[in-house]
Amino acid sequence: MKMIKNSLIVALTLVMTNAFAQDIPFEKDYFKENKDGLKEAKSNIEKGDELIQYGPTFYKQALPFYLKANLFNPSNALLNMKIGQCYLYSDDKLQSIPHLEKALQLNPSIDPIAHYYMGQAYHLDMQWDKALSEYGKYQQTATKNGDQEALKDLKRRVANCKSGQVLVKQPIRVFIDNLGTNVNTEYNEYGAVISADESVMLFTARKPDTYGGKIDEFLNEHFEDIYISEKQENDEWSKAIGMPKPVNTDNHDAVSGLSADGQKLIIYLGSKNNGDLFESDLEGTMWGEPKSFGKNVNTKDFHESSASFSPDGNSLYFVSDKPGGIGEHDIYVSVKDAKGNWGEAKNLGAVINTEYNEEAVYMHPDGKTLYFSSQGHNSIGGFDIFKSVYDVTKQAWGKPENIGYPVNTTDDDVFFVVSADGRHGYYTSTNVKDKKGRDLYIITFLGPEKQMVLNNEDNLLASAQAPITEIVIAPVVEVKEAQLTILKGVVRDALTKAPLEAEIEIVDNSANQVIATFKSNSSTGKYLVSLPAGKNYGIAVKKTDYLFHSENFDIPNTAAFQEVEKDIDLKNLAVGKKIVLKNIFFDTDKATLRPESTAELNRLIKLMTDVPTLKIEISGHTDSQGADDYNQTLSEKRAKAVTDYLINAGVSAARLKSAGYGETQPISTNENAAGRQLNRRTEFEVLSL
Amino acid sequence: MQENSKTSFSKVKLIGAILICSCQINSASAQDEPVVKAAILDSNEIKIGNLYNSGVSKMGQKQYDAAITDFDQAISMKPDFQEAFYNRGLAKYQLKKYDEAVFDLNQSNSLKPTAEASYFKGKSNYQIGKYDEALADYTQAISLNADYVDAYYFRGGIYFEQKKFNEAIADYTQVINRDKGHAFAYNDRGSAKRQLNDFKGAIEDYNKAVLIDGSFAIAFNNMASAKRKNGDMNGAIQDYTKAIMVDANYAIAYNNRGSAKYDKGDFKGAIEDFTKAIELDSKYYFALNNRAAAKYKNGDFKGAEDDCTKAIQLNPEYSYAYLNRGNAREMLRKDKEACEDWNKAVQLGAEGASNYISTCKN
Repeated sequence: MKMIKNSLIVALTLVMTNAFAQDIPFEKDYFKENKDGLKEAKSNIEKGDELIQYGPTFYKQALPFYLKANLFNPSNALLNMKIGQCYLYSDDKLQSIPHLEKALQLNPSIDPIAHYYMGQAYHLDMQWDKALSEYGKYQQTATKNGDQEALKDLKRRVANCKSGQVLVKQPIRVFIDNLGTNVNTEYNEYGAVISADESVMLFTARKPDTYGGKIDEFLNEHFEDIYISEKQENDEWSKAIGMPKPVNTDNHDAVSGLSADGQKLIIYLGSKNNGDLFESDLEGTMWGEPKSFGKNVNTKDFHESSASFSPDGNSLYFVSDKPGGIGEHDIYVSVKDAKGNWGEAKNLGAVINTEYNEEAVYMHPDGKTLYFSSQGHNSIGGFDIFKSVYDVTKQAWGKPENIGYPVNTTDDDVFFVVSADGRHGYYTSTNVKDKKGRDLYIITFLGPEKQMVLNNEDNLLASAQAPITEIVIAPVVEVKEAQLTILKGVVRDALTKAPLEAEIEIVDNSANQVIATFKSNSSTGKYLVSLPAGKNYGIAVKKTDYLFHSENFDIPNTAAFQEVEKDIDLKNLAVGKKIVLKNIFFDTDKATLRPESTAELNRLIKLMTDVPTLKIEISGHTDSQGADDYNQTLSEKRAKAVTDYLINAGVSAARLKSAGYGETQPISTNENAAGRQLNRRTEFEVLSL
Repeated sequence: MQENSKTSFSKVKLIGAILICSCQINSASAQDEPVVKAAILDSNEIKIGNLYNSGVSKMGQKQYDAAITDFDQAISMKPDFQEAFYNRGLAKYQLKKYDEAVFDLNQSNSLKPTAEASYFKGKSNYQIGKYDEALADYTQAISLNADYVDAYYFRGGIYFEQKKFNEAIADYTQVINRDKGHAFAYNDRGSAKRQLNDFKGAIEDYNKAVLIDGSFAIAFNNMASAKRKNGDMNGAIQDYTKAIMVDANYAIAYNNRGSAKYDKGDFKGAIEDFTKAIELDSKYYFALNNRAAAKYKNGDFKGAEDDCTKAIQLNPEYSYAYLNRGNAREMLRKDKEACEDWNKAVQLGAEGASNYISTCKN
C-alpha cells in the first residue's frame, strides 16, 4: 500500500511538473534506469558551475560541460538558462536564444535573471521589442530589490534598443569586407591601426606564434602580440608577420596607435601598472625600445588602454579609467611641451565622455575628427563607434554621432580607424552571426545613396504623337571627403639619390608658427605629413651640411582631399648651388615682405649663423608679364628687401649680395599661370663657403 | 508636333467645283465648302473650268497626283486662278510636299486671302519646321475668320511647344468656348496648365476630356501623370490603369505606371509594368532603364546592369542609362567600370553625374 502511495506521489509530481512546464530535475527518480548517466551529467554540471563562479571569462570553458549534461537531460530549465548564459559570452552568442527560451518555457518562474539574459540574447539578435519586454521584466525585479547597479545597466540597455530601432531603419551605405586570410585567422585579431596612406597596418592578435609562446590561463588564449602587414601593389594586404623584439615581448603586447607617417607606434602593455601606454619610434628599419608616455599619461594603479596621436604628433588622445573622470573609462588629451614631455592630461568633457565606458580613441589625420567607441551616447548595444568633430571657432567638440548600422552592431564594435581620404575604415568586429571570434574588417564608405534616374514620357498634346519626355533628375549627392592633403615622398641626396634622414618642419605661415616637426626614415628616406585644410603651410626640409629645401602649400578650407607625392632632393652646401625660397611672399606688385615670410627668412638667418663663412646672393625674378623695366626694378627691390631683412637681423652685409634679374632667368614657361607662378620667385645662391 | 492621324480631325477643305453656267451662285454652303461666286462663260474658260472640276473630283478620290496635273493645266491657262492654286496647295499638302504647298497657298492668298489658305499654309509651314511662319499663318487665318476653331487649336499647339503656356491656354479656351465637346482642346489645355504647375486645373481639364471621350487613353495617362506630380500616387496609378484598360497596347502608360509604383516603393510591381512596356515595344529603352532602376532598388544589381546595357545598345547616347549602370556596377564591386560609366554619363551631359565620379580614384 505504501509502495502504491509513493508511486502515486511520484506520478502526481510528474504530472504536475509536466502540466506546468515539464522541467525535469537531475534526480534519480526521473532517471532510474540510467543512474550512471545521471551521475556523469551531474558531475559535468558541477564542473561547469565551478568554472562560471570565476566570472564571464570562464563561461566559454564551462559551456562544453553543460552541453554534455544537456544531452543527457535537455529538459532542465536551470541548465538551459546556464547554457544560454554561457553562450552569451561565447563566439556563438545567438545560440543562447533557444536555450533561454526553453528555460523560461520549462519554468516561467525560474530565477528572474533569466529574463535579463533573454533580453540580452534578443537584443543581440535585434529583436528589439522582445528584448525590451524581457529587460522590463527584469527591471521589476531589480526595482523591487533596489539593485541600483542593475537598474543603471538596464537603463543603458533599454536606451540601446531604442536607438537600435531607429538606426537600423537608416542603414549607412557601406561594403564591409573581412580583411582575408593574410590578416585574419581562426584566432582573435583586433585593434588594427594604419598609416595615413593605408600602406602599413599593425594589429593585435592572439595566435600560437606569439613571442614566447605563452598562454593566458584566464582566457585559455595565447598572449597578445603585434603583427604587421603591408599593402601590396595588387591592393591586397601581405601575409601578416609578428613584430620582432623590442615591440613584441614574451608578455602581452598590443598595438594602440600609429602616427600618420607610420614612424611612431603606440603600444599597450597590460602587464605594466595595470595597463600603460608606450611609444616606439621606427629608426631606419628597426623599432626602438618602447618608452612610457610618462606620469601625466600613465597612472600607477589605473588602466590606460588606448591612444592616438594628433596628425602633428603634438597631442595624445588616450583612454584611462583613472579617478576624477565622468564615467568609467574616459578619453583624455595630453599636449607635448617644448621639451618634448607630455603635459597634464585633460578630460575631453561630458560632450565626449559618458557615465559608461569610452574606448579605442582615434584621431583622424584631418586633426579635427575624433573617432572612439562608447557604451553610452546612442549606442545600439555594447560599444558602438562614434565620431565627433572639433569646432575650431567654438573651441568645442561637436555632439558625437553614431557612425551607423551596419558598421555598428548590437555587440562590441571597437578599434576604428579611418584612412586619410575618409573612404575606408578598419575595425574589429565580433559578428554574432560569423561565429569566428574577432576579425579585422575593412569598411568602404559609399556615401549617400546614388539616385537612379528614371525617364517618363506623356503624350501631352493630343494633336501630336511624339511624347514629351520627362527626366527625373537625381538630386545632388554630397560626397563628404576628409579635407586634408597628404604629402608624402622620399628625401634623398640630390647627387647620389641616397635616402636621407632629414627634419621636416611644418610652419603655419599665417601664424609664423612651427606646428609640427617630423623626420624622414633614415633607412628609406620616406616621409609623410598630413596637412589639414585651412592653412598656408610652409614646409622646410633640413639636414646638416645640406641646403634646406622649402615648399609652400596653400590649402583653403574648401579644398578636397588630395594625396601629393613629392620626392625631395637636398643639395649639398656647395658653391653655385641655388635654392628657391618658396615661402617668401610680397604684397602684389610691391617689394614689401609679407609677415608670412618670417619663418623662411628665419631659416635663412639660421643657415647664415650656422655657417659663418657662407656668402650668398639673393636674387629676385619675375614672370614675363608687364614691362621689362618694371619687372627689372621690381625684382631688384624685392631682392633688396630680403637682404635688408637679413642685415637687420644681424647678418653682415658683406656676406650678402642682392640682385634682380627681372624676367631674364625663367625656370618655367611664361605661357601659363602655373609656369608664371614658378618664375615669380626669390632665390639664393651660394657664392662662397 | 508631328501630326497625329487620329487627331487630325479637320477635313481638308476643298474649294468646290465650279458651275459651268451663267448663273450667279448664291449657295450658303458650309464653311468647308466655300462658295464660288463667279461663273465662267467662254469656251476657254469652260475648258479651264472642266480641268479644274476634274481636279476637284480627283481630289475627292484621293488621286492627288492626277488632281495636281489638272490644276497645273488650269493654272497654266489661267495664272490668276486662285481656287486652283488653293486646291493644288491642298493636294501637295496631302502628298507631304509641304514646300510646294506653301508656295501654292501663298499664291492663293496673294490673289485672294482666305482663312483656309492661311490655315493650311500654317500646317504646311509647321511640317517643315517653320514654326514662326506657321504661327503667323494661323494668326492670319483667325484674323480672316475669328471663329476658326482649328486655327486656334493648332496655334495653341505651337505656343505650347514654344513654352508660351499662357498663350496656349488662351487659344485652347477659344476652342472650348466655340466647341464644348472638344476633348482634345481640354486635354491640351490641361497639359499647358500642368506645365505651369497648375496640377489642379490640369486634372480638371483632363477629367473633362475623358468625360467627353471615355476612350481617350492619352487624357487618362496625362491625368495620371498630373496626379502623380500633385503627390496623389494612388490616383495616378488608378488613372494609368484606366489608360491601359482603354488601350492595352499603350506602352507609355505601362512605363509611367511602373514609375508611379517605383515612387511608392513597390519595386516588384514596377518591374512587372516596365516588363510589359518592353514587351509592347522591344526598343523602349526608357522602360529598360527604368526597370534597371527598380531592379537596383530590389537589390538585383546584375539585372539592373543588364537592363542598362540593353538600353545603351538601343541608344548609345542615352546618358542616364550609363549613370544608372554605373550605380549598379558600384554595387557589383566593379569600381573601374562604374567610374567609366559615370564619366560617360558626364560626357553625354547627364545632370548630377559629376557628383558621382567624385568617389572614383584619380
